[in-house]
Amino acid sequence: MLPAMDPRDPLSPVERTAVLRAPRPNRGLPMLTPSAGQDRRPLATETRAVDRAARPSYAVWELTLACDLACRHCGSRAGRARPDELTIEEALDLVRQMRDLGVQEVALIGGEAYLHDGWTEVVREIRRCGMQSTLVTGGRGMTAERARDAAQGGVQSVAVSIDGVEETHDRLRALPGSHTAAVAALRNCREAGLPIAVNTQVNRLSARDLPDVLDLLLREGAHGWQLQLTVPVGRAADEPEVILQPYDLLDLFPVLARLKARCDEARVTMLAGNNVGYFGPYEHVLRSYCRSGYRRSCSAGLTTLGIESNGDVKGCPSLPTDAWVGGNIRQHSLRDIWERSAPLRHTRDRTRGELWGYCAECYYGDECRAGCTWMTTSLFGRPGNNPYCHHRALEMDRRGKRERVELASPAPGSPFDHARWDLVVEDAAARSQ
Amino acid sequence: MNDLVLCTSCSRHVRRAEARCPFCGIPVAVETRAARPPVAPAGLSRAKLYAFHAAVATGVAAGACGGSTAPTDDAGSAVDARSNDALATDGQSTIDAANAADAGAQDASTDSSLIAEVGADRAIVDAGTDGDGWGPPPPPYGCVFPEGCGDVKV
Repeated sequence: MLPAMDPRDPLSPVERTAVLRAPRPNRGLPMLTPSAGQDRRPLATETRAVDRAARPSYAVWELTLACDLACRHCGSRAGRARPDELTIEEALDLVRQMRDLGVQEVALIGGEAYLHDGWTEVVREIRRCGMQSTLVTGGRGMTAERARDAAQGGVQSVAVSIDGVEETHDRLRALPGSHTAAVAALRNCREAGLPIAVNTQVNRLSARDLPDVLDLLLREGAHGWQLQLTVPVGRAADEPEVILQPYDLLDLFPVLARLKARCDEARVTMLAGNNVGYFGPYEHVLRSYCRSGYRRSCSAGLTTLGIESNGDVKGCPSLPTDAWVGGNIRQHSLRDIWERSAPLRHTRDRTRGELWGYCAECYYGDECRAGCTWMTTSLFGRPGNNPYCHHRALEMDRRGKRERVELASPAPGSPFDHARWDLVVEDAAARSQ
Repeated sequence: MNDLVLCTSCSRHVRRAEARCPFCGIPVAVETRAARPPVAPAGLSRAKLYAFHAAVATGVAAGACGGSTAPTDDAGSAVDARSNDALATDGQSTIDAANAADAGAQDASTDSSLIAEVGADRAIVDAGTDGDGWGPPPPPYGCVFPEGCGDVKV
C-alpha cells in the first residue's frame, strides 16, 4: 500500500519566502582558461581484462558550456563557452570514436547544446553511426525552428528541465518567464514530432511541487520523467538553503513512490537518477524495471561516459573536473582514456575498503558502495560515504538521530567545483519542529 | 557482491542466504530465495534493457533484444523459449521501436565474446550493466531514452 501523495514542504512558510526572495550570490561567470594541455596523470601502459570488458553504452556530452540561462543550481556554472571547445571536425571524430568504443546512446547537454554552431551536424553523425540521440535543454531558446532542426537531424527525444511550479522554477532558473519558455519548448518539440520528456531537480524548493510537475508533463504528453537530487556542486553549492538535508529523504521517498505509481498508470517512464537511493522500502518501486528490483552502484567508467565540451573525458558527466577527468581527446584516443586512465578505472577497481563513515558498516555496502560518486565527492572531496540515502536516514531515525550537512568552506567558483561540508549527527527531535 | 531478494513482509532487500529478514525478522520464504529472474544478453541499450525487464516483470515476454537471452541455469530458460514468439503478438511497437532505434549500433555479439574472454571480470562489469537489472543507472544529468517503453510497463 503506497502512502498518500501529499508532500511535506521541507521549508516552513517563512523559510520558503526567504529563499524565494534571496538575491543570487554575487559571483560572476567563471574565468576559464584552456585546460586541454593540463598535465594529468599518465595513462597506464597496459589494459587489463576488466578494462576491455567494460564498455560505455551511454554517453552524456556537454557539447558547449555556452548557455542562455544562468541557473542558480547549475553544476557547471554554464554561461560562456569554454575557450577551447572542440571544433566541429573534432566533435564529429569523437562521435565516431564513441561508436567504435560501443556507445549506443548519446545525450547532448550543455550549457545549451543548440548554441553550438555544429549541433545538428553532430546529431546527424550520431545517427549515421547507428547510435541513439537525445537532447537535454533548459528550453529558453528551443524555438519551433530549432525543434524542427532537431527532428530533421534525427534527435529521438528531448528532455526539458522543469523544476517546479512557475514561482519555484523561475527562482531556480533565475529568470522570470523561464517556466513559460520551458513549457513552450515542450510544445514546440512535440509539434515537431519529437518525443518529449522532463528532467526535474529535487531540492528544498521543488520537493513540494513534484505532483504539480507530473500533472504538467501528463498534460503536455511527455513520455518520460527523470528526477535527481540537486547536488551541492557549482552554483548549487553557493546556496546551501536550497539543498535537501539527508533527513528530508524520510518525507521525500514515500512521495516518489506514489509518483512512480502514477507514472506507471499513465505509461510515463519515471527514472530516478543515480543519486536517488538506496535500498529503502521503496527501492523495488522506484527500480521496478530492474531485474531484481534494485540497482547496484555508480556506473561511471563501467557503462557511462561523460564528456566536457573541450574534450575532457570523465566516467560520468557530473563528476567534479579536478579529480575525475581521465584525459583529453586531443592528447589520447577515447579508447585509451577509457581503458587506461585511473579516474575512469576507479569504479572498476573499487572495493569495500573505499567506504568510510556509516557506509563502511552498512548492510548494503557491498552492493551500494555509497551510491552516487558525484554526490559523495561533492560533499566530502572523496567517495565512500553518502548521507543522502533513504536506508541510512531510516536507520538514523530508528536510533532517534538524523544527519545534517553544514557548509564548512565555499566552492571556489569554477565549473563542477564543490564546497566542503561537515556532517552533523544530531537528535531527530528537531525534525518535527 | 551479494545477491539480494525482496522481503515480502517489509519490502526491504535482503541477502539471498538470509533465513530471516534482518529488518523485520520474518522468515524469508524459500520460493523468494530460490527465484532468479532471467539475465538479459550483454550489449543492449538502456531502452532495450528496460523493455526486456518490463516484459519479464509483466509476464509478457523476454526478448526485447529481438534475439535469445543469455543462458542461465535457472528459471530464465523458460522465458527464453517463448521470447520472440510472444513479442510477435504483443508489445510489438515497443520492441520494434527499440530495435529500429538500435539498428546499426554495436553488435551485441561483440561484447559477448569480449566478456567471455575476461571471465571473472564480468562480475565487476555486471555491477554497472545487467547483473542486476537494466543497464547503467541514469546519471543525474541525462535524458530518458526515447523508446522501448511505450507498450510494456511495470
